[in-house]
Amino acid sequence: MTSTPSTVLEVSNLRTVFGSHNDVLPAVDDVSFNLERGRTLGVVGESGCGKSVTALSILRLVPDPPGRIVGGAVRFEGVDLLSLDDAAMQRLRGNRISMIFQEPMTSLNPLLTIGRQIGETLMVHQGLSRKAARERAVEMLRLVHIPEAARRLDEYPHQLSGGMRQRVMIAIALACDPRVLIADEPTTALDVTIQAQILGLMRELQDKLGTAVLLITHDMGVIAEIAERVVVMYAGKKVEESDVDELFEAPCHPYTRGLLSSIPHLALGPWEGRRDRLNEIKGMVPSLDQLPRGCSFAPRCPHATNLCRNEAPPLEEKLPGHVAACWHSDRVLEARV
Amino acid sequence: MAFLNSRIEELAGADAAELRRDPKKRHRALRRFVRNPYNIAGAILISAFFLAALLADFISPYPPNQISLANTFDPPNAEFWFGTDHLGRDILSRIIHGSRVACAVSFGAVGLAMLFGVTLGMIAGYTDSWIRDAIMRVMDALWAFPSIILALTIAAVLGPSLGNIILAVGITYTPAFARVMFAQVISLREETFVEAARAAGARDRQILADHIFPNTVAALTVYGSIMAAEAIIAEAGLSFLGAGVTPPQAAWGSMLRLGYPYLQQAPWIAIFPGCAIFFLVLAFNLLGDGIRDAMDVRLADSQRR
Repeated sequence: MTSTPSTVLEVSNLRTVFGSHNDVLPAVDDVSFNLERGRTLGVVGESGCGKSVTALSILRLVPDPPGRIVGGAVRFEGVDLLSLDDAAMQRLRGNRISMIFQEPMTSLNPLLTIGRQIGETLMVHQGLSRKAARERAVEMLRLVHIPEAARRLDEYPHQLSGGMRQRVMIAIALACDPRVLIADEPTTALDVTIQAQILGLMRELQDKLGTAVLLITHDMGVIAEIAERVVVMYAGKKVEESDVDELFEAPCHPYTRGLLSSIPHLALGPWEGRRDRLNEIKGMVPSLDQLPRGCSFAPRCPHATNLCRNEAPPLEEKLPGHVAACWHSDRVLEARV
Repeated sequence: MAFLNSRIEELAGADAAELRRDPKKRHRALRRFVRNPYNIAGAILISAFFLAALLADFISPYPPNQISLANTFDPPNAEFWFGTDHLGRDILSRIIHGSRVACAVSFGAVGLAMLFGVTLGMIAGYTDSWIRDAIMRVMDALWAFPSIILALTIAAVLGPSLGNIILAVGITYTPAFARVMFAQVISLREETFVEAARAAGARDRQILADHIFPNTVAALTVYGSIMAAEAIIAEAGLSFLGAGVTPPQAAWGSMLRLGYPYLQQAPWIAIFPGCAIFFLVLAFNLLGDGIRDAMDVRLADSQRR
């Protein structure tokens, strides 16, 4: 995990815990990754595996109490965000690093106009006048392909559909031309056609503006669509990281394999003569206060041995540029279809 | 990708059509309010009392404190519509002048309680420390007193005057607003749009002013109109118990008290001020219900069909 000159965001050994002093639960446990300029890094995993807490930790927005970042570093353009004071952090948020959320229906203040909400960020961070902010807001709405942008400015969130609201959120997030955009399940609450539009839009804007995107999702389809590199998280830990093609081609961790095989395949539909049962990963993500002693995934893993149950596997480079934390990754690789 | 982009254009067009909704929607709350005759009745009654209070000197048939020993205990008649009291003072004129006290207290006390309560509730709701506990526990303690006893104590300590009554009732109802505000703030601060604003670099002051406070206004308006009714009853209670405005200034509560011994012989002395209290309180309650119904989005959706 070395940072290159093009690394814009470097998360190293990040550890965020929840709970009081004697009873801490590690929501993010020793997670590291690099985000390269203008690239997209996907963070994938089931609900409750620490994806969102990782994102909030980067912006230092983990609710405290009960959450605390207890270790590691988050370096943005070389500066450790964890050592910045609150005011400096505030200047960064929404300006250099911004974030969009899962729920476009509730991410906008219902009582303020669209224009005001886009303009607010600009006025705070770039000191624009109300008029200039308004002009820039129209530009932003055009950029995210909202028709009749000038008229939309004076409308309220309830007058827009879910897809439109997510566009507005993207417009707000990109208004100050940030280096990094953190997208926390940006398409999960949208229906499939709108999902495709929003992903297309994000990709287009990334090409245009050169923003690096940290995309958090549980949807392997979304990852395949726009990520270039992928981090797989399980129970607060990074279990695998690789380029997207290789991850889909040669998953080294049984959890990743499980995620991939639980994607429905249309080719196996009834007109093909057979309909296979959709594979699922048996069991649930263990709750953080009941993590097993060895590998967290062992109780659900088809390859688990006594070694797995007793000793946590280290993150190792299994293939060039491809790390995974599994004792039996060779067996996982062999077992692939 | 080209395919995707063309789909985007196409679907964006579809969305635009969906966006073009009823522009009158913004006034939907107002139209809903107007549609209910009870709301109109409440609004008209309140306006009537306020007009009476404003124009008391012009519309009351007699000076409120004019004693006429020739006309004591006159029942309602063409000359004195609501009759006269034991000193021959015109009840109607005194009710009209008494509405000044009622209106001043309802608005003044609620305004004061809102000012204190909203400020304290907002601070308490937004801070996660001993400050929150300190504020809310004091509010709980105040709230634990029966309101009339608390108001009576404050009014008795401060001495009887209109300003002091407003202050007493205002302090008494401060915890009510503080609690409503506290509850609103702690739920709103967890909303995604507040988190989003924070992620966009908004400062606390800005989050409170732009994102939290405006979203509490609906609840405060409804609660305010209901508390205005409460304040009128409280003022009447204080006046009835003699802790209200100094006699001979007319106040409905003290008129009620005055008529009480003569309830058998001259019921009009107490009945008419009682009716005045009843109608103004009713009006504020109707208004409060109306505003609540008009602003409640969930109800609005079910009524739209």
